[in-house]
Amino acid sequence: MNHLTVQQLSAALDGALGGPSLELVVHHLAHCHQCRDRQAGLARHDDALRRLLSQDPHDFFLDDLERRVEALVVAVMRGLPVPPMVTSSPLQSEEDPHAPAEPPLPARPELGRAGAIAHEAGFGRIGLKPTAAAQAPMGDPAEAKRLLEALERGETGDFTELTAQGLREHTSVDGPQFDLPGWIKQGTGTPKPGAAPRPREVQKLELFFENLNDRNANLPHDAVEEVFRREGAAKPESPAREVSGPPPLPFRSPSPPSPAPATPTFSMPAVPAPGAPAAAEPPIRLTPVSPPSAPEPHPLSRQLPVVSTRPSEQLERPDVVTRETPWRRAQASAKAGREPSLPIPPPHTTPVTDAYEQVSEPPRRPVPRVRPTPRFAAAWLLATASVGGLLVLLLVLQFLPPADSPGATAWRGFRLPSIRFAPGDTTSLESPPPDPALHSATTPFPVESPVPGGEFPLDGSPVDSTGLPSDSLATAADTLGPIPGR
Amino acid sequence: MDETPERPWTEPGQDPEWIIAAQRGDVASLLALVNAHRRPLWRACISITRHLGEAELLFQETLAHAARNLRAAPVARPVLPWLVRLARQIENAKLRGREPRPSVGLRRPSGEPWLAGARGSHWVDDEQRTLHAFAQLHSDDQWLLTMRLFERLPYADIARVTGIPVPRVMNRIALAREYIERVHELGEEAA
Repeated sequence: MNHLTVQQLSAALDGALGGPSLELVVHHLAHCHQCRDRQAGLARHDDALRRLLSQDPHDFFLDDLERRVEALVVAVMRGLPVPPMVTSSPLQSEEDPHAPAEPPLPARPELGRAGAIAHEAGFGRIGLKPTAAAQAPMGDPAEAKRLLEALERGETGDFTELTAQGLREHTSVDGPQFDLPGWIKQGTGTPKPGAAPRPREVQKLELFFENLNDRNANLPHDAVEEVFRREGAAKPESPAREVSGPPPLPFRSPSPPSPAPATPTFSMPAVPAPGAPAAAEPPIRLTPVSPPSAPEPHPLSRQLPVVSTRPSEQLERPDVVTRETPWRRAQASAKAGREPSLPIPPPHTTPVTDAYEQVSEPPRRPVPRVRPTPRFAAAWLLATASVGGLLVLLLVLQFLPPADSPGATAWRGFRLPSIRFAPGDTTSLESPPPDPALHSATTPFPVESPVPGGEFPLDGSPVDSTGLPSDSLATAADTLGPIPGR
Repeated sequence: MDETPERPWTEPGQDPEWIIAAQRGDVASLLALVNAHRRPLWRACISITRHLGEAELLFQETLAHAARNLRAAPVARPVLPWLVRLARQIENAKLRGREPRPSVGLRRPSGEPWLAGARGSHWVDDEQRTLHAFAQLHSDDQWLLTMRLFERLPYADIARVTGIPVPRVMNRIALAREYIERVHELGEEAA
């Protein structure tokens, strides 16, 4: 079966065939899968080349390129100095092989505060479960009417910012949610007699409040969490929390505790473990000692998860609403003459290693390198060449036919002595065939053996080596003609 | 009225008017000519250099060279083949006596990274082998494939633009495709 040529396949791909040629190709392709596969391969490479090289850039790219060309052309035609040619992307010799494959994502300021809140809530971050609803809120006619009225008034802020109220109303997190038990919300301080024990919730309460004392009072909620995190790191034997970090921070605790100010106050009752006697201590009042000028934190910001436990990131992690980091807040307080609420040194000022002594070692003497002299190099080269030549000669002689083989001469090679590899190795035990040239007691003398081809002529005419008369030699010489050179 | 000729490779359109005006020193006519042919010229530069930055440089060099040599521009014929010929000559002159440019760059010719995405790494491997095979072709064969695959010109127009007979155009394009197929198969076997 004659297959189609690549010219036919290529022309069929380009639609350049017609008439009988097209019918022939179509008929053959309908029955020959091999030619179909080959044509599909050609078409696949065509598509790959079109994808790679047939680039159709945007108009703004060509406009920018044309502006540069315009400057060049105008300078050339008017005899002005030609400006340097500039490219928007690096040349092939200037490319960085270690550059990231993907450019950084552009900022999206159009998302506004809603985008920041959604980012903090975990949307779009791999491995982090969103704490808010992952679906759009349900339609509310009253809310829509309110938004329309706000749009008529020119207040478009409601369209770009999420309200905490709306989020709370439509929050439906897929999964378990943490919530305080009811007997804590009621503020009784002791579990109800008929209530079932809740060991898991009690463990959480022990985790947060077992070491709470007076020195942690009047601190913001975040600061208390930080204290527990670092104290837990200082006591690794505690199975409740495993956090690694520096030693406990020197938080300042006002003494005596000041009364609750007008700023937001988080009052939590001191709850003992179930079964333990009720504590006689008064309820602990946590009061933020941040500067009074700081605005009230957004209620949604307290529901956001703590993503990172590293102090540096926590210091630099801004508040969702105020966009103010704790470290900047402390710096602002220091500038204003107040003592900063978080006297944590910045991470870059803390040494990461202990002090050490630099031992100066005596400089090593460089070892002089011995360079070979020309005589030594020549002798070395001669010795190497001699040994190599001998090895090559031995190798060549080994591969030449042995002297006892038919047609071989004595100088062309020799046979190595046979080696017996195993007791059953019959090859090595075989004796060589007897040489007819060797004489022994039973070997007749060559003169006594008859000459093949008959008797010698008695008339003394010359014969050849086979005993035949020399007439055949003369005939052959006449056939070949005169010997050149004679 | 659309000033761009429908078939810029074979029909002159308004090219003669622009060229004559530009030869008299009219910069606006030359810029109008550049604007009319910028897209096919850009595609030619990309296929010649196979690199975004190099194509930008070649595009500017070509038009600057054309502005210097307007006297040599064809008057009664389309200008685009002349511009592309200039671009090919400039590229050959730049690479003469130097190491050839790597056939497959760090990025795609469009400047995008070699990311496979959901298609799998074999997709990128196939594309790189095809691009490598295309780069190994003779520059004339590359140009014939470019006119057929990217500009989608029929064989008759390719023959008219390049001055090569139609049967020879068909044969060379077919052999170029076969060469790409063979190099691709060799790459697959080596992998």
